[in-house]
Amino acid sequence: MATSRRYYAPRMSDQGLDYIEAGMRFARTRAAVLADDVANARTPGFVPRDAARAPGDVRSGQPFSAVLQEVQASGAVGVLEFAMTAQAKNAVTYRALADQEHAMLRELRTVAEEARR
Amino acid sequence: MADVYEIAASGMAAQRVQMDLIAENLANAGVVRADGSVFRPKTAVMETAAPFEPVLRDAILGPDLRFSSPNNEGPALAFSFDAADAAQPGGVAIAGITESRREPQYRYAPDNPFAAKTGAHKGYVAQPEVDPIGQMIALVASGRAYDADVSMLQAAKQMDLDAADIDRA
Repeated sequence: MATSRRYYAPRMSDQGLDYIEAGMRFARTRAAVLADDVANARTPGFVPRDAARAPGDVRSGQPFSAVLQEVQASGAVGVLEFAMTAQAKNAVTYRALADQEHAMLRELRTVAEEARR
Repeated sequence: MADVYEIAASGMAAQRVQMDLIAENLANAGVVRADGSVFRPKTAVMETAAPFEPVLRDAILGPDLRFSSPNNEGPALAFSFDAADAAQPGGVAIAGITESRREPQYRYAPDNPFAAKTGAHKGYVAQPEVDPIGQMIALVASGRAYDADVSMLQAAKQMDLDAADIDRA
């Protein structure tokens, strides 16, 4: 007796790509906040800010959002030191996420090419 | 997208104005004017061009409205990425240029054709009160801030290049 069996492929990388994209967008937002800190480092009375991750809504495709936080840094030099350090870390994070997304897309491409054969 | 390039450019422009003023101050340090007036050292006053929160609040009017904070307290400063993308923080701007109110220095130079002929300062010439050490320190600080803005610009550029490389095999 012949039986039919339907195969459901597990979701491959949708959620992972969502997370990576959100992470990269967060890094871009944070870069803008840090650039604002650097540009205003010598502005009298300026309080530097940084962006931090906040809970988001996974169901709507945004795993997390961002929150602005004040940073304690003394003087223009302190602001510059903070912002440059944070931006260095931020750039590395962004690069890592970009590499990860690149790898996942390559994986998807490999699967697609295998299916074509 | 909140434009890192424009923010960094605003910082660079502001520091350039400051450095121009410092150069003008140093160039006029020993200048004696024929009409007896005195050059007054100038300083650029900077201000935040557009505070980040109001810009973001204005931007958070779309369907992606989401206020939250990590500890669920305090002001609602959280924003969704879509709102952040729409926001344009303005960086820094020059609020104005102030002139020093310090009294000029009077140097006794009776042979100088511009020396005062009468009055309490007879035989003296008026020179601007320019502190060269302070001006040089301000020049270095402006240069460092300019360099920092350039670094932010390069970092943003590198991030864009990284993003562009995602699709390359």
